[in-house]
Amino acid sequence: MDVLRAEGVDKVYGEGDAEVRAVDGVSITLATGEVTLVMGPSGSGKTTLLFLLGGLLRPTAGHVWVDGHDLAALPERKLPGVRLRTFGFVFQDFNLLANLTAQENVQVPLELAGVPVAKAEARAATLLARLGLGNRLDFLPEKLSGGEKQRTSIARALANRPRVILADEPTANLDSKLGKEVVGLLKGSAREAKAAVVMVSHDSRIVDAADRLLLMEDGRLVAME
Amino acid sequence: MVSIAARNLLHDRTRVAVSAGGVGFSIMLVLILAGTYDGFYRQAGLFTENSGADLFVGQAGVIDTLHSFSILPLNLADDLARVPGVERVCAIISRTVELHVGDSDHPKAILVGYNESHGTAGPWKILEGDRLPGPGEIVVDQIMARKNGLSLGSDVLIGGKEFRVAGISAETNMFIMQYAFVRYAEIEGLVLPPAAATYFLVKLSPGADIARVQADINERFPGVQAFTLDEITANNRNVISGLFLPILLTLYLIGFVIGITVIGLTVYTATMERQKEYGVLKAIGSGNGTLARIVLAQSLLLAVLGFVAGLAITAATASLIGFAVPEMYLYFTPYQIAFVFAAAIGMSVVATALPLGRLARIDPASNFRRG
Repeated sequence: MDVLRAEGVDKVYGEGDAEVRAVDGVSITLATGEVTLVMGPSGSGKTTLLFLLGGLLRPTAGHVWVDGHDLAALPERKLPGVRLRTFGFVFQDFNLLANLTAQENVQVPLELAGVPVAKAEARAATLLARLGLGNRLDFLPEKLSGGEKQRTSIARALANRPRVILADEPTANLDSKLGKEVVGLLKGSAREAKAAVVMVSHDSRIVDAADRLLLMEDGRLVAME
Repeated sequence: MVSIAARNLLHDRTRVAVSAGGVGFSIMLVLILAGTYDGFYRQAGLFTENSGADLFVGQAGVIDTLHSFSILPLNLADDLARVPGVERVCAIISRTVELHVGDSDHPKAILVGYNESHGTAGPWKILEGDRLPGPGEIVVDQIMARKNGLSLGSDVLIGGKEFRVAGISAETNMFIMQYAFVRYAEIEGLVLPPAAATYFLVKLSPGADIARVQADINERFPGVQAFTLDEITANNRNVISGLFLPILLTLYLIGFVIGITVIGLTVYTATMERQKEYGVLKAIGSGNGTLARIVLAQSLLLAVLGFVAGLAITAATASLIGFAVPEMYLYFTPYQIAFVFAAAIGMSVVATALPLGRLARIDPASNFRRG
């Protein structure tokens, strides 16, 4: 089942001679449980594409349909709510809140969505336990290893049962073994949660984990495998 | 939202301690200055407020007991006692004298010759010994006692006459001088000419109309002026207001502005330090309204913590001041504390509101890639 559909998406920065076409006419469909890996050289527009798919940027032209909403046409004030309930984000630098424990970090999107604190605590603990961090609930990020941080970040992304998980270089700060482990967990968790996953990465070692590989160059999708 | 804000704020104890400490010291600065101001103002009226009289009668033209000097013939008491509505009249002496303590100390004091028959104008709060001194006895203020090494049984000379310290009083400090109390009869003719008093304290009969008695006295005795307790107390305070309080008020206002500004800067800095965290919250789906509530909750929590810390620091500082500079009387009113709390909260809200526009413009995508 399709959960997200992008049609003829353009993103242009600047005007006239300074114009840069970061994303150029990209159309893509994401299906439930499918893991899509976007690769390409630096500056090819893959991160911009990720931003456009996740409602972090508005396209200059085209549409991004998700859950019946066209993100391109949605009022600015409604975008955070869609991001909160429809998307889960996994960051290259983890971006865990340094003053919150692993469990509290996972609780944040739940509490932002209005889930009562007790329920949020229980769900966060369940998610972390499922990702092998049941004994790290009360650890602050500084006490977690790189792999543990990224697993916490994945648990946070899964907290509100998102339709789509967007991951930007999720293995960039991890060694090869940990990278594969994290991608495996991301894939397994997404399948279980019936969420689509889009990963942007330079890491060719994780290609095997993807159901579909997209190659970008100069803002265009040049190949799909 | 509040729980996220509270947990995020409270986990970093060092940062919280530094920020709350900054707010706390600002609160202390403002409260100490306010306490000094209110202390000066309150002190100026304590003697008359606690005199036990209904009307204060002094020489015409003398409108206060601190600044002006009144002298009246003692036999006027009998004339005043005949005014309808007057129950009794007590002559007292109140004037600045030099005390001789030991061989070298000559502290100045406001010596009060209280009325021994009714206890009128005697000390009202006693820490040690007797409240009302008997023949040959004196009650001295605690600060004077401490500064001059006086204790119960010590000897003090006034105009060559020896008095034994029988009591140590409190609330009887008057800026750089302190009150001391002896019987009227002990100093009649010693610090004033014989058969003279400085004031007559009038007690009214039950049910007497105070305004009528006051008007009657003023009409019958052209050379005197009668004041109600409220009037003479207000006059005393106005004298002090005119002399010292403008300076103190200026210092207080400067301190208030500095203190409140420091609170604002502390809260502003604490907010701006968390920009990256707020960016993360925006990326994962926090709207600007939610973010504003989180930021505001953190700022208010910081202000409250800082205020509590400020009260503790103020209490410690006040104790230290009381020990090192006992003449500096600090008086904290609930109104003043509530006002400073409200100002700290108000400034925190302003300091939070200022960077909200900047926080609203944080690009949530900025948290994705570094370098």
